[in-house]
Amino acid sequence: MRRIIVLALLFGAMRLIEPLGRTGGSPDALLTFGFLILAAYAAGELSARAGQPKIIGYLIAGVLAGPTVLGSVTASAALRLSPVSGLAIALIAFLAGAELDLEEVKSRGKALLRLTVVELAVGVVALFGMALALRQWIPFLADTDLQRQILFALLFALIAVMHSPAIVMAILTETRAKGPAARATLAVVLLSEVVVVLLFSLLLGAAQRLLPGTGEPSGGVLLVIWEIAGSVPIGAALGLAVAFALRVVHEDRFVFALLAAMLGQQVAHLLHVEVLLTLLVAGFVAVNLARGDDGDKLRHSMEQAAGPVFVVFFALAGVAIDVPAAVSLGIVVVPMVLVRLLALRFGVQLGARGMDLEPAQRAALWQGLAAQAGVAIGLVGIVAEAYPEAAVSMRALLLAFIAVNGTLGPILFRRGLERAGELTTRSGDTGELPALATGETPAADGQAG
Amino acid sequence: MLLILLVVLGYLAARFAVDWLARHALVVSGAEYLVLGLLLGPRGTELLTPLQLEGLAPFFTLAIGWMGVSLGFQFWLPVLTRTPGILFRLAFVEALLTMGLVGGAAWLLLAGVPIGTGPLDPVTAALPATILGAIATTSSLAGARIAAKSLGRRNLAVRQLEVAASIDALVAVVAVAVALAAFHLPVNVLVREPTSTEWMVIAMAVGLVGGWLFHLFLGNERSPDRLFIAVAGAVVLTTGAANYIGMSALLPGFLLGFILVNTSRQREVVGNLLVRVDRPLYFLMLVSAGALWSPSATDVFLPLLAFLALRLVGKVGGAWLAARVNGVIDAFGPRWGLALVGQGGLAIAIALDYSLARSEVMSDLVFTAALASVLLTDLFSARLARDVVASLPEDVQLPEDARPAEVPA
Repeated sequence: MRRIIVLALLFGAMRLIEPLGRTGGSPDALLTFGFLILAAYAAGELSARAGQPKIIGYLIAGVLAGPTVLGSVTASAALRLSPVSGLAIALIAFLAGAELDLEEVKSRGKALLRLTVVELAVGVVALFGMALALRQWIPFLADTDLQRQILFALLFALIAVMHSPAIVMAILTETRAKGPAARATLAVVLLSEVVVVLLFSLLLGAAQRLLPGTGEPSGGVLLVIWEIAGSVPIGAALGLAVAFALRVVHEDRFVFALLAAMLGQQVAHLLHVEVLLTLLVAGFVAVNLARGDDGDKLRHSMEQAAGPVFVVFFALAGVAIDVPAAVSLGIVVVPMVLVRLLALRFGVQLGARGMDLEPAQRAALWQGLAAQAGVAIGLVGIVAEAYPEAAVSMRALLLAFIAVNGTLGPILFRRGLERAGELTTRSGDTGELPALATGETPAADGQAG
Repeated sequence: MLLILLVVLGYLAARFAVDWLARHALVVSGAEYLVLGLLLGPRGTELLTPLQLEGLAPFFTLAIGWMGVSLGFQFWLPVLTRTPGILFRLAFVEALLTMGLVGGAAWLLLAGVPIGTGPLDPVTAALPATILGAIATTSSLAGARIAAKSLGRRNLAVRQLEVAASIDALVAVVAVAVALAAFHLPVNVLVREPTSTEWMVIAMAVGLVGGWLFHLFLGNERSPDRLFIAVAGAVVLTTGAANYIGMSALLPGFLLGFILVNTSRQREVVGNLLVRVDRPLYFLMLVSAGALWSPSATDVFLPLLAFLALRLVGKVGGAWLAARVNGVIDAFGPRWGLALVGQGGLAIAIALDYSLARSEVMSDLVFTAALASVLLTDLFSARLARDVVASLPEDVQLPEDARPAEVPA
């Protein structure tokens, strides 16, 4: 009840203060940011009480506060907060890379890669077929020739098949799950990120030569390959620098990680490489090559401080959801979501053959892959540069698609982990439990800030 | 890449120079971050463009609000009530005299002498004059702490310096809030314009509501994770609200900090959280201040010298007068005010806050005065504080009539 009162008071306070602003317009970024932190966290607590992942609450708070529902957060304020969102995703990528264990990658790398490729292939085929089957209701496919229908459907399928490292990390951090299904899900999500972006870049590069769009060419195949391939050495160099610096950084490790993520983000932009992949590699290299237990301490500090980062990221993701548009596209989105879920289930069953996973763990794995978040939108932006004629309606469809999967995915994944017996927290728990990597209590290191 | 390398080298050189100075000459400073800001900013490598600095504004506004919270957190009632009242009297007299002297002189100067675009009208001149007075009033706690540490003393003289620095901060924060309320820009969308008093009440209400929300949000929770969210959320919301209504974030932040320290059951955990975040935000604020600084030596050199001289007179003379009037000159000595000459981040926070709120009224002069004063005084403030404390007996005793009355059992 207290949470509901807090939420009501927050929304009321925003209404009260609005006319006192200097411009008389929308509340500025900092006020919006503070409001979102408190409102989303209160909603997250309510969600946990209802036995659902907290990020559902964060997303719902964002949606409610967003411009299409109550309007407490305007589109311009959300835009001003986009650097915060960008930094949050960079930090999440850094943390995700840090969670990958070198030994596990060595021992199960091939099996995980096979699983990734199979589930992606099944997903792309299913979504491609579905897009073509529903083409008369999809604006970017309805009014174009067959060649472009095939190209756009393929691009759409490649983007729509993506998973969400951010949601998987948020659920794993919240539940402290660390069993085989949790580890395999994280590995597949991260690997699929690389595979999809690589395939997408190759497809787009080739398509621009064969079927030029009305927009400017995006720089050719070599450039897009550089974006992916260049991320690995640059991320590795950043990771090595972080691992080396950890020898002298003994306090405020989270602040240090935040600065490293900021630096990585800027360097990636400067050198035109993939930000997420760069930071993922950097996190992996930093933690696995750091001296002694420096890497574990860094990871531990980041896990403890990850809560606020997730609150901000998912609340802002919620703000970006256009509810009326998502509802209006329901006729296309609902069957596509169902087909994607079926494809995931089948793809994981097929790809995980030979892996040492029980049926409940396999179920948790495909359910963990169901979630989607904002990374896919970045790829639509790249499509927009080459094929602006298709991008607007493709973006609208993908936003609606992601909104549904982003809400459904965390619920499914949490339930899957629970059934696989990998949860170490119960619904509504307060979080005073062993941390993911070291088994210490959150208060032990005191790096919450 | 060459520019980045230059920036890194410049920062490292400044960092090592400051480290060396800190070790060998008892210097307390964040000068390396100001230098870094200058190197990164529009007058250096231009890696931070004016547009990017504008984008960073929410972060350094947050740093200002966070500093206000940290200041309020120093006012823990159980400790304050155990402190002899005479220490507060001394501190208030010293703070108000410095404020009056520097503020009054600045007003005469700004209203009477053509600086930059010419003399201001007397009413308008009161705004930058009050801000300059507030900046002059601030003192750094770092000097007293370094003196206590290097001499291994924890006596009444050190406590007096701590109380004086805290009261200086309180007077400065209130003065800034009053000045911005009195000169508040019109809002237009309301039925009638709020009065200055109403703006003050609104600013205070923002801080009080922030503190209330913190408690309502947290209930009886003890998890550090939730504490961090509640503290960060309350501080960001309070700072953002104050900034949005065109008031300084320092006073609402101060009230929030006061509420946190006096009502939270997890006072120590909250204090640690504040310190952890305070440090990087403070450095960010220094970098931003360095980048935003546009020094104009020809226009402001003489006013700047006058400001520094008057501040020194205010601090030393005010402290001497306060001690003399209250009959404790023998206990603290005639020159204890020298230990308050050092200025910390609050002076920069006030200048930055002012230049964000009212950039059109002499903000360059205010900004330059604050930065120059901080850079200059930090060079020798710790040494002065140590000399003052060392010159006093180890067991400083108040006169009989100034001691607090014994509480009957």
